Amino acid sequence: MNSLKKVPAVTGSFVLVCCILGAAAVAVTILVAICIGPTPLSPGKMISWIIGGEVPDPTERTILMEIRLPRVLLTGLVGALLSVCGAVLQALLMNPLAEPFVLGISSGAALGALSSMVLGVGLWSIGTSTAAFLGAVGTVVLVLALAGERGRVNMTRLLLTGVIVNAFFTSMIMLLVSLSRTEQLHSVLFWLYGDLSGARYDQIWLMGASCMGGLVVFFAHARALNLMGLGEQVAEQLGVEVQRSRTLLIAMTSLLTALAVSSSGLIGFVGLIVPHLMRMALGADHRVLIPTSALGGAIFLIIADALARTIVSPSEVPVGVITAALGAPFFILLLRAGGNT
Amino acid sequence: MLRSGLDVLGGRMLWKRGILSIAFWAALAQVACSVEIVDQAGRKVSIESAPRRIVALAPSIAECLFALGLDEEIVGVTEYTNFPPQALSKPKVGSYIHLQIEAIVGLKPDLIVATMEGNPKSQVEQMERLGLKVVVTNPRTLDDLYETLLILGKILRRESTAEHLIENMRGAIRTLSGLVASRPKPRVLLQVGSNPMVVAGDETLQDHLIKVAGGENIGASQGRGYIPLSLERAITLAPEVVLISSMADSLTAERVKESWKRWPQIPAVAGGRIHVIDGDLIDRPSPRIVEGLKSMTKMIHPEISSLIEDSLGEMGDRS
Repeated sequence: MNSLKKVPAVTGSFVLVCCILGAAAVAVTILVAICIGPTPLSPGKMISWIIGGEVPDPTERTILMEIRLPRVLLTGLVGALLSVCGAVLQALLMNPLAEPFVLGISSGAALGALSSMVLGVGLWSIGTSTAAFLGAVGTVVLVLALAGERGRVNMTRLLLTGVIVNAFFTSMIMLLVSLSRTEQLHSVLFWLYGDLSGARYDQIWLMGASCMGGLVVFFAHARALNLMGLGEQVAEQLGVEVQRSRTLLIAMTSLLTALAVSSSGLIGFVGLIVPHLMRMALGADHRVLIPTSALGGAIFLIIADALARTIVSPSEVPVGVITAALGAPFFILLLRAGGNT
Repeated sequence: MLRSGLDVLGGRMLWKRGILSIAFWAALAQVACSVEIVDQAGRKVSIESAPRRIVALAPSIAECLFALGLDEEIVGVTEYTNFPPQALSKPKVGSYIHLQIEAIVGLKPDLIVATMEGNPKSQVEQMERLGLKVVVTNPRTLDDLYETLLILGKILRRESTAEHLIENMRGAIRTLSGLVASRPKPRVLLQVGSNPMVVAGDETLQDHLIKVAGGENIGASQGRGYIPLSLERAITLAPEVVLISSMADSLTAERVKESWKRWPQIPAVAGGRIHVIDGDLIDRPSPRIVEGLKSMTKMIHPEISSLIEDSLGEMGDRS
């Protein structure tokens, strides 16, 4: 709690430096990640390709440009979206445990996706991503409607409603899993723990544009978020339209999370730990926190996915397994080292 | 003749015609070389020349391709592909249910043989987007399997091998059917999974095999596909024969077999007719299924097992 309230002032140039360094780190991570994969490609070729040369072999070009690059880009965008949404929600709900799935989005999306996988016949076969997106958005609308009171949203009530709706939908998910046929179970499980393997460029354009749009909106509200951390009344006295900003930001984070979930399945931990790491390292000012959370989330998820693709090659483990396995110990370590931050 | 033709029509004209006709025949030869088939997903696939680098996306498909004598041409298989032994040394491209597209592309295949039941549709579509040639098979019955073998034989220029293979399979199955035709049909339950118990229901390959082997699949009365069955229901169904498909390891199958013995009121338990059957031989639509069918028939009709052995004795050597 304390960490959310302390807002040390930062200068514009500090924000700029953080962004530039972060963007450079993302670029390096992307380049390293496309060099890694089950098919060995010679490092010499990779270097010449990175410098700008052509990859002569059509097979290697396909692997690089049509399989690895779209996957790495999609992974980066999903990581950025989840992480930045986590940062914003932690501030909005004034709760360090908040993450993008806290309002029931994960179970809503999963329920949508599983319905399309398990019951998906005829009219209902609208595709897993669309079903997940609709499920996610529907759930948030439901949670907001249940928690709202005369147009105002009480944050504690919102949080509790989210938890309860989540629990209810999780039981529905288990019902669907128990009804599903054996041969469907595998893909259902993979989806539940995050699957980035089917990346396509059209997805990436959509995600990229949404990510940029979201970042602009969030960054524009950075000062409001800082002030809201001081309490609703203080923020209002200082000229923040608290209710309006909250509604807009909750809607925005929900849409972006739904989008991320619909293209990648459920990837936990990114939205929780990356914002905390950034807050520990760079302070709680949202002008820094928002861009660096996005960049950090991209780096973290790209690394996790590179591991998911390679550690049990030629098979793959769900990326959610890696994010939790990597994130949990690392986070505990930092928490202990950081003491009371 | 040619000379006089030149004289009459004028040299240049005939020359032109000659070129045209050469082009025509060349084109025709090209067409004759390329094979067009409709695969078992109902898609039209045309194959220009005999594929030389093939990836098999399921253990059963690899078995079919090896049976057609394509040992050299197979460049990639999926995990759990364990037959024939030379398949073990082929590069793996992930499990059939979650393929590693990158590994497949890296093998530069000119033909990928997929299976409709198992390979994710989205991944098959992804491979096609990447310009790979995919043929989809869907063998759910013995007749489907013959069709699969014929299609593969046609694309891979092994038609006579395929026909020979099918003739042998048909012969063995005809013999088996003849032996069990006039016998009573015991009530068979085929268990494919434990905790929860899953049995082969209607419209499964195993259901088909039980019928051919002269049994009545009581799992079929419970619905289509592979069905989770409560213990209570399994007991009330009163199977006379319980077959346990050895799934991951034979140890588990033996333990499952032991656990049945707690229910002596079940006819199969009372009669000591609980058997573990090699899952690879009855789950995989491949020519080896004849072997699975043979051991299944012996389990369902043990009284004629020596007769079966005598009639089909040489079968084991062939495959």
